[in-house]
Amino acid sequence: MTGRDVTIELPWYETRILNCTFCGKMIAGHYWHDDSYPTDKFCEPPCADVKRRLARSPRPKSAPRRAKRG
Amino acid sequence: MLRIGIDTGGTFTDLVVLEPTSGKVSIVKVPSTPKRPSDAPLAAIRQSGAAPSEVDRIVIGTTIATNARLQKHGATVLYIATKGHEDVPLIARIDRKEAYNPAWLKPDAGVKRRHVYGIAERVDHKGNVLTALKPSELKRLGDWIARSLKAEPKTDWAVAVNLLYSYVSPTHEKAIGKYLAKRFPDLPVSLSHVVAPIWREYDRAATVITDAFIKRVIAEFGGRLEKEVKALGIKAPLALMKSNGGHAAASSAAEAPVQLLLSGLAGGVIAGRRFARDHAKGNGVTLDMGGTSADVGLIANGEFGSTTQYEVEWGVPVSALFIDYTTIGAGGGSIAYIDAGGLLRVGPRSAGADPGPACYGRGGTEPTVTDANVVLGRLDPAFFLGGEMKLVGALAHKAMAGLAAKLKLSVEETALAILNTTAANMADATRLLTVDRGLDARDFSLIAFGGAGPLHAVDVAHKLGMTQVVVPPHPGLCSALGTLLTDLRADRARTVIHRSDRIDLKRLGAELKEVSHEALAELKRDGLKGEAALAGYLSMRYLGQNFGELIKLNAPAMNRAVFDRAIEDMHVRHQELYGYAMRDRVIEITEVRVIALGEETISAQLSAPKSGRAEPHARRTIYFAEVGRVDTPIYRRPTLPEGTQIIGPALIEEMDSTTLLHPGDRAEVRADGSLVITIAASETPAHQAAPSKGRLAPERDPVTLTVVNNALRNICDEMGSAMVRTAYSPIFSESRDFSCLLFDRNVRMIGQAEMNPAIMCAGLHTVPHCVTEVGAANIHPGDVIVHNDPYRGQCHMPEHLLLKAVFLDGKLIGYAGNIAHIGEIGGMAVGSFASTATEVFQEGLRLPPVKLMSRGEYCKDIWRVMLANHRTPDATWGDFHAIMGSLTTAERRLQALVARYGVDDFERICESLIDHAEAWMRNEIRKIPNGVYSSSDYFEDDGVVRKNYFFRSEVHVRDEEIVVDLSGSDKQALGPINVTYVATAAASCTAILQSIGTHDVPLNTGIFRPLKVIAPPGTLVNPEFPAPSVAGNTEGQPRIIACIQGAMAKAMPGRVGAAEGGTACNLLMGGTHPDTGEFWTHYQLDGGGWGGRPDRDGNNAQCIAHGSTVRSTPTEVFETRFPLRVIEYSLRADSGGAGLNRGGLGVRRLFEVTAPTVTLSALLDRMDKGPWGLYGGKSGGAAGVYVKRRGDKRFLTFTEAYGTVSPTKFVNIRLERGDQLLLHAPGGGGYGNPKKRSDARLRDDLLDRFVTPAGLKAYGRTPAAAKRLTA
Repeated sequence: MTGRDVTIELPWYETRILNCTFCGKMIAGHYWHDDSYPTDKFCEPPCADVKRRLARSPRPKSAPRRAKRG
Repeated sequence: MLRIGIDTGGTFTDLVVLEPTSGKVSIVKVPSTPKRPSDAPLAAIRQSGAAPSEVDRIVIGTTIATNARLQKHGATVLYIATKGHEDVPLIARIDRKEAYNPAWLKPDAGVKRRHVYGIAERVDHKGNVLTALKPSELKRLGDWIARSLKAEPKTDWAVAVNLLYSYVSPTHEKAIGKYLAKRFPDLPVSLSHVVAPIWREYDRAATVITDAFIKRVIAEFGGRLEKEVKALGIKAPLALMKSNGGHAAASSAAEAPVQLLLSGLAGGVIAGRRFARDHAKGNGVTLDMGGTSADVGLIANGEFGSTTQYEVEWGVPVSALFIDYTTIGAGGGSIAYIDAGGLLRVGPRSAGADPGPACYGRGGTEPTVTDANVVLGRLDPAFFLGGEMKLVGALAHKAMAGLAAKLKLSVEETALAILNTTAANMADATRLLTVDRGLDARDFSLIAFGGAGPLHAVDVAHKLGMTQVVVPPHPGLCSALGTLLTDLRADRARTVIHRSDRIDLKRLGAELKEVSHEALAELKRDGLKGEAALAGYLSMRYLGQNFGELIKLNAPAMNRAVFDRAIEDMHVRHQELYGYAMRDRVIEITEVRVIALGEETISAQLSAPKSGRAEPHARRTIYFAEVGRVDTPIYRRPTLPEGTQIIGPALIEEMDSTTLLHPGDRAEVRADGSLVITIAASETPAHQAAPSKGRLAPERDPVTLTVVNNALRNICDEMGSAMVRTAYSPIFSESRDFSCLLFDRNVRMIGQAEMNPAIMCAGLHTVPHCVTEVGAANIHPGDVIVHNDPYRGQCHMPEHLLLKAVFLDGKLIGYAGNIAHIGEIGGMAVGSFASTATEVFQEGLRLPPVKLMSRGEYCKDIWRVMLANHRTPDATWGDFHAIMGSLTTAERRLQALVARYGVDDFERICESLIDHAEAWMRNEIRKIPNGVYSSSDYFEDDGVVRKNYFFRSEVHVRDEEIVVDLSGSDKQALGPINVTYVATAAASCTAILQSIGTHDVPLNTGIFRPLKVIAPPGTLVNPEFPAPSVAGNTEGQPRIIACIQGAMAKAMPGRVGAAEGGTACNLLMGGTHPDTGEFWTHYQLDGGGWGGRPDRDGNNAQCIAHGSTVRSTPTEVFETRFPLRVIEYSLRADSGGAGLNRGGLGVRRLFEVTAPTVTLSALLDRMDKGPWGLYGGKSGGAAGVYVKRRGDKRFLTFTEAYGTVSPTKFVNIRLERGDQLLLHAPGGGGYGNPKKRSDARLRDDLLDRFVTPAGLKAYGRTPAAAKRLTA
């Protein structure tokens, strides 16, 4: 994972808020720019990781094993 | 003459015979006889050899009342209430103890629904009779009771009577009592105005039911004992210890036996008072530690405190005056284990007496506190109970080794960890007891007794910063000794209503006088000879608050000077407790209380031997934390003369207890035989942490992690307690719609009380967003930030975050936050639930993160804007101060906690706790099969457009993470059902945690790290500005939870239950009060049924899934404040979804308007169709809200009556006097095939009217089958 933290410069009277491009969470102050997804603004680095994992892994079959008892 | 004091415990009964003039004490210990409780005291009296003719007093402290209640060995209670309110004990308060455990079982009400009866009578909050009690009603009641008695003649019956407002006007209850005494002279009857003349009908119901339940047990116990004691030739009267610390004749104690609930515990605190007065300048914390539990009491200025807040079990209050103490599950038999969260825990699970600790050799294998003491050499296996019982050291080692392997510590380190955790738990309980009352534990001495108290006392004292421990003589028998030191005591109280700005001193004085006479009359019945000392108290609160502080009057009679002094004392007390006083505000007086003491205190002359030499009896090695195994002298206490000085390390053994001195501690034997221990200063090795070689870093020490985790949780609990006690609005003091949170300086959540999941999970996002937007560098000591903007991380507009940064020595150490639902914030609807809003601007005043306080000063402009835009600015003022008071509480506690460990160590400890929680959550997720699971649920309309709106979830379970993808949900709605991102994220987290269903959740950032929620902007689950969202939090969250749980049911079949009610049945009311002319608003919530579970029926009447501590407002509070009448509040038969395991029932509430007008808004859902069932279970009964205007014959929906678009979401309907409003809360969905529900269970359903004959159809039976089933 490569990227950088980007500070959002906003005047104090600004009322609008940005949202994370992937998960939708509101962003204040700064966002994560991920090199793999240059047009996205992520709320935090792990969010970009989740997007990456979901994109890479095939959708598992919905045939669950019986869950172990905790 | 001889005085006998007896204490009956769970395992042993102790007897003390005191010869007052010489001070000679003899003791007896016999096994208790639970099957016939009176046998053990009699056996002890015989064994004592006391000459019967010389005994002139016997006082007994007994756990019989508590045990009967806890073990449910009492009468079958018939509960009589005002018609329409007879289900109150079963509905209770609708809150839940465990936020993330939907399988939690509601506590037993103490009465079955088949045994409740509603009598036609009604009084209002002013005492006016609205429906007179007719003789024909009394006869009808009597006939019903007669039928019950005849149907089960062998059952032990008792009657509990609780009419609405009996504390204002007891006339009807007295009439019932008189009638029943005449018609059923042998039937025990408890009347609520006698037992608990206070408001809040549920609290009174629970108290009077408990009283009736144990009445015969106590009467028989006292009666048998009196008879047998006389048969022994003892003529002295028999007295029983009361929970308030006094005693009463056995016969009169049985008239209101609820006052005996803490009888067995009070003796210890009384004894502790004596030794605190003698050796600690009257300031002592009593620690009575036995086999199962430790009881901590407080003696301040020579007196013990009293409280009326007591619960016999969670959710079952008893309103009487009790000695103020706290009990924790920390005793010799407490079991040490690793909890589901991976932290070391000790207790409350106990090995008891059978099998007992592993070293008892009776089959116990789990390590206990006693085993830890044996392993470390602190208990001599050959001298336990004076040698009467031999312990097996090897078994203790074996049990310890198993736990040591899990902790990766040595056996000794594990044993030390157990003892340190135990001591920390007791220290925490003590800290809460003292700081909650504005006191500092360091100013007190620890008075330690009980079998295990002296062994742990120095550890506990050191953790509290105390410098002195006092161990009384015969510490294992202190409770019995205490029974000899009690006074005749009577407590009487009465609810009153006065205001300081319109005080009628004559009336108040008359009330005080009446209550004083009642107290004196009780003392005389108990055998008072001579004069009694009277002390008067007033319960006082700021106008608007709901709980008061008990303020002592400085003279027994009322006059202006006495009153003014009480007012001043109230301000001072409030400032001490909560950090602020409001001297310009009116004070309400809501209770008059009198304590009457008949001074019969014995001055027991205890004494140590006058001569002798203090020589060690033996030596053995004992393990201490910092120095390892040390050769330690062992003394036998009875041989130690007055003046003996012993420097630790040392053990002082006696038959009933052992006292441990660490290296450097110094003990002195005083004239009365007490051991007074001065704890070594912290610079000496004795109590320092272990040397650096092999020492665990605090962030890796299991004890430190548990202690800090508990401390953080306790801080949040204290915040909540402060909030409830000082808030103005019932939504906080009664309904508890708020949550308290702690964050570290990196803005990671490190603590929260297990309150409302909705807010707890949302706080994860809300607080960091707020700090980032304001800028951490711009937040200073004394600043408080306020923020309610849904587009900036809030759930919806009414939820306000107040946030305070906490500093220590100028350095930022963390943040304290309280997110609270402010009931009125302006906007288009009274009560600010704008159910038909189409823009956020219509929902009320929106505040981005701004400062409310700046360096401790009011930011007046913000306050003025806010107060000008809220309809009830007075309530806002009071509630915001209550919130800020809770933040001040957090600030003080967090500063003290961080100061103990240091800023950097504390940060590392928090890091560890967070990592730990994350590991736990990932481990839980690994147990769920990988896959993608889908489900959907919907809103019936959005208040503006009458169509369904769908939530669609895809839950991706991938190894050790879960992604909840809600992208498939509908586009955002025009009306306010949109759910903001944080509310969506909160609901998703709650759904996952409730599906896992755990009650050991470590509540910090860590557990949420493996969860990701995807909610694209512009959808129902993340609306774009300026969409409204007020309904989204309250009604949308449960819908999302249900949607995700439907998916999780596929992932974990057999672990997830059917859907719960899913709506909080929100009613918002307001208007001008006809009595005061003031504007009022109120937010009313109610409880629906919970879904049937895989293994049992769903709970009746519970708050919604994302609430936990949310409670309904008591009718008596509601009617006193607001101009409506609650005609009925009951469970709805047939509303539980049919199933093998039935869904729980929802409630039915019927209001009538008594003001000229009331403005009503509503927000609910699930009226078209009730909550879904599972695996063949049927849907629960649907919700509904209806109106019958004065003069109309039937109820209509609001759409039919007023043309609203939605029948469940509307604003500003004007109701008029005489209009009736009916609310139906939904039932829970059923689980499993209803046809498989057994006849036996259906029989119970029919008898309890949970299911009617007509409702049998859903179970595949005909209505005619009802007769056969109930035959």
